[in-house]
Amino acid sequence: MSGMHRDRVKRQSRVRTAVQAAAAVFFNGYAAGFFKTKIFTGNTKGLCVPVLNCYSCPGALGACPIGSLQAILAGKDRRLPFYVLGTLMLFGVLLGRLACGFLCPFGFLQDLLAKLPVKKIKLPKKIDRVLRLLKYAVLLVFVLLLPVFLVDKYGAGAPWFCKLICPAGTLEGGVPLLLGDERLRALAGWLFSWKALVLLAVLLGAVWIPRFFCRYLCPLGAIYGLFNRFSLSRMALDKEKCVGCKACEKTCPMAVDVTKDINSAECIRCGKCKAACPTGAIRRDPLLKSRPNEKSVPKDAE
Amino acid sequence: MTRETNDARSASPARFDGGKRRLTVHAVRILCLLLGGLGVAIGAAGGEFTAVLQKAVKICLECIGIG
Repeated sequence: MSGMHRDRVKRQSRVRTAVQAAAAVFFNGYAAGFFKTKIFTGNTKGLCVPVLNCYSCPGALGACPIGSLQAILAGKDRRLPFYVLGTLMLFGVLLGRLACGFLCPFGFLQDLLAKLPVKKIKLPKKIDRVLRLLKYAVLLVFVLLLPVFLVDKYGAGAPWFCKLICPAGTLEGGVPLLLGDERLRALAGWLFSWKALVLLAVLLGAVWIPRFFCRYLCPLGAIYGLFNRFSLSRMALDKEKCVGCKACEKTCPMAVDVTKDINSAECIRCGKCKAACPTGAIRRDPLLKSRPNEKSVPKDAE
Repeated sequence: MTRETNDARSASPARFDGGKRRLTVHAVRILCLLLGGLGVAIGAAGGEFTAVLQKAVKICLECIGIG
């Protein structure tokens, strides 16, 4: 890797880290909440943010779309969550999984953990492929089905993903609130222990497998992944410039087959592949200006 | 590149496929934007914004692991 190229990779990494840090602060900008152990109660809490950011975090200024989706689905009045689904659709088309790569505070934390100098584990492709399907199962079962069908005697459901799985909720909401409020601490029981265990497992997983939670468990990533192929944050690969060195695939935190499927549902648009490419064959392509079949244009036409 | 070359390129099936694909992607984008906007408008008009707000301004005990 040449000096200039190395500088480009470093600069891209620094810019992304800065954007991620700014986004984490922006979505959790109510700093007083952390000192008072109280959550923000302003009107912006009715707006869904594009990332997995618990609304019970003392600093949160907006609502988590996955929490909101479950809250509406689990309500006694059994209404369809048009507002939340519409918001997710808008974010999906405008950002796709760029939200995971640049804006999500929990993704940012995993990126920081992945920087620890530990030898990374590369799972066999078959196992990895099956595990990636888990996030769709989590979305279907814990976010969509259980809140609707598993109801108490009054007809109200529960946000099962938040209750049993969400490590972001434990970290951003549970830990600061329990640390600062004695009454809440007294209420903590087996459920908190379970969630703390899940959080620990996910964080440890992220040390050895980059973006462990995003790859295998995140239901929001699963939703945005469905929009990845036609979102405005598309990437393009110029096959004529590509020399097949696989530098892009080696650097990809989501282990995407960049040369085969650059707009895969797994791609978080972090841009590491673009920075790593020695020939500049990868670029962002929001308006589809690339010519995907250019290589197949008959030579005699030139 | 001559005029003939340009014509040959644009007339090739490969370019036609690319153009069709681009059009489909743009059409899906616009459809999703419209549907998303409509969903937000219908939901907000139906009181869903308030429902989300009411839920989000209280500590969610399930989310923090004590519910």
